[in-house]
Amino acid sequence: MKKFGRNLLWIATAGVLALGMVACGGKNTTGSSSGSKEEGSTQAGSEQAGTEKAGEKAEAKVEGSNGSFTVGFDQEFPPMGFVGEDGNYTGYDLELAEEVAKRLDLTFVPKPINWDAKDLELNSGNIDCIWNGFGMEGREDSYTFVGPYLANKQVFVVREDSDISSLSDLKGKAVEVQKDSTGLTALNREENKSLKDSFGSLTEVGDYQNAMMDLESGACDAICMDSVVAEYQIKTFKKKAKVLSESLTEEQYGIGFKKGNTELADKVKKTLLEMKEEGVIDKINEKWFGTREGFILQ
Amino acid sequence: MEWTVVLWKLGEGLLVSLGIFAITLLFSLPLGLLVAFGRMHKNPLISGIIKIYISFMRGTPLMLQLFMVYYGPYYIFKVSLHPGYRMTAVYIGFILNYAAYFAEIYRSGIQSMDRGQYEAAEILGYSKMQCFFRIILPQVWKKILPSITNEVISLVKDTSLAFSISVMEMFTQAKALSSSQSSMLPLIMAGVLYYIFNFVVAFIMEQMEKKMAYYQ
Amino acid sequence: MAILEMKNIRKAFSGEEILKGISLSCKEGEVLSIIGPSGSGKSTLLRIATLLEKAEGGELFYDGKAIFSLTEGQKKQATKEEKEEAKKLFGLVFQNFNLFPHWTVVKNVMDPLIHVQRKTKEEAEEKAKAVLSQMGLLEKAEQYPYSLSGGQKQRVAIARALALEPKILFFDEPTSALDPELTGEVLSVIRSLKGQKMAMVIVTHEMTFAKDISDRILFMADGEVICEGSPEEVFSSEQERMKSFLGNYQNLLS
Repeated sequence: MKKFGRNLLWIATAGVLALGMVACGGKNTTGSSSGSKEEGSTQAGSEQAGTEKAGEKAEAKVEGSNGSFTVGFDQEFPPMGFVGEDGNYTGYDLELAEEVAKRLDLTFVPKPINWDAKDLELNSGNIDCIWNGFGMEGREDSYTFVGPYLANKQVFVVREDSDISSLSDLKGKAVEVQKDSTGLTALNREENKSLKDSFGSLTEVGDYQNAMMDLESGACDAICMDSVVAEYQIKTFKKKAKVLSESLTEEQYGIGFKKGNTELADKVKKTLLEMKEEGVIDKINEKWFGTREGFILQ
Repeated sequence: MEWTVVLWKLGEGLLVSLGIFAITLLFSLPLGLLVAFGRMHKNPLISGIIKIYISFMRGTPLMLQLFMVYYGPYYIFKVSLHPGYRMTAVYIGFILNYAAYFAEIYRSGIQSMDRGQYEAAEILGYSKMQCFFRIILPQVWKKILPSITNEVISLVKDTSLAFSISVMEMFTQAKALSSSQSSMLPLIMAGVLYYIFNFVVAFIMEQMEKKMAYYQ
Repeated sequence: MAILEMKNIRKAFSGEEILKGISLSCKEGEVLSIIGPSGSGKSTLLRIATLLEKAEGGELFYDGKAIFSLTEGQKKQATKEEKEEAKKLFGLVFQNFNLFPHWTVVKNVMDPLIHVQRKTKEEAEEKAKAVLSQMGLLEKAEQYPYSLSGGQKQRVAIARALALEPKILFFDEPTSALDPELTGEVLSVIRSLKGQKMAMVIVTHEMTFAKDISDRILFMADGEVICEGSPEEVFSSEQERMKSFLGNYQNLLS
């Protein structure tokens, strides 16, 4: 039995080694095959290819990245970052980021992430920044921010035929908000406490898609969300919904870098300001929001 | 968006899901057997360690284990991560988790074997290795196949947990498409694809069970 | 010279002595039956002889070579290789057959020939078929054990043991698991082996059979040998335990 056991140990060791090798090898094949399959396609395709390239450049990409600019975003967050008509990643923030990467001579890598794991992704160096309608309030101590670059309000969306027309009408109603969102932060502010307490219920949901479905189906009466997102949702998908004119105080979007990574943050900021000078930002704003207003980076 | 684009994106996700599924089975089935041996080992240190491993794998969420495997090296050992490690971490997490489940299935199968089979083999002069691989394992395999089938079907659905460490498998793609289109359709299509996937898996497992039915 | 020799074998299970110093021997071609009431330690003795169980004291020899020697002064065990060598000398037929259910009848018989004796597949198949036809089971060669009757299963088990050409064959209550009408075929097969000068040690409850086939009979009770000798001697013994055992047995028959 003893000898038998020893033999097995050897097999186990060999197995674990083989496992390691195949697992790594497996990754390479996956990466390169999908890379070649999507040759010529743009963002989503180059995401994997980009990751692959960064991989081949070994440990070049550590803190602050040489060669690539990996932007972490929540792919369920139109219009800031999402899957576009052609199946590739697109959005206001991603378009800005891509232009910045180009100007910095870096390979742009949009990396959709699990929003719950954004800090882990950023701190472990898997992504260079979070650029995704990322509210700065309450997070100033956790990140090195570029911004604010975009002003935004937290608004309430209700059904078109709803009798809710002001914040005071929300009394006793079922309200939803995205978890870990700027909307939730705003509601948790001291000044909004009485409003929040007046709600019948406040439910935190995973993403706006769920919240919109709840609103349409009657599972909730109102959603607290970013105004840019709300306007886009209603306009693009012709939702039977409206935005209350009363809103919570303004809050601001920033680009979040790992705490202390000022070198990269400064470069990005400088580039954005250049783009503003040259009018590039105005064009992008017009494309996504129908107005040149809004970009506030100083 | 064209429905072909939706299908294309879902197909990309499906390939990732399939890869996780295949690699996990390929390695966790043999690894599970080794773990089962460790669990039944005479040395209490070895069997104790393996017991703790199995209870950890079965007692904590797979999502948490994936986090540990992926982020652990950085947060515990300060090793900076290689971008290619993401997929490897998914494979390692799934393999370690499923090996633990398979180990317990193997163990129950092996322990339910009649002692007479071992004794007959010993009297006839088979070595321990021959006895196990020629006589015990083929019979154990038949006994445990229905339990294995259950796990394999769970695995198909569990692949969606890979998104916790930002791997773009099929369910993640479906959710992203759903929000960009503000439509349930991509989710329904993903559901159909999962169902077909599992239908094929169940069919293959059923064929294997039939093939094993030549004796009682 | 004796093929098998056991001296003063002792064995206890959780403090209770099962074997209190049993000695026996079996010569080439000799048929030895061990009889006695249930729980007398017969099967344990057989399991010690076939190395499935370890003894606490006593000595075991095959062909004059010591397998273990556990006496007052010394504790000696044969090396692994020596034990493997000794194992080639004997075969064992179990009460519950212990056939391998996932293999056909012929595979059950020929697989050990290929993987233990390293015969070629052709040699093994030839040998297996010869033994099976000797057992009258050639037409069952391609069937699986589950489709056979108990008597047929036991005959396959005997064929499997015989194919390895042991010098001595042990039977552990070979008919106990069988329906009464199936015992005959198994007993007649064992009888046919006696004609081939096969040394056999048979633990059995079949008194008539034991009396008929044995060269010597050993009667055990409570872990001790009560009497030993030719069938005539044992069955006419005036020994008290022996008489009451045979008395019970005859009551059962009538």
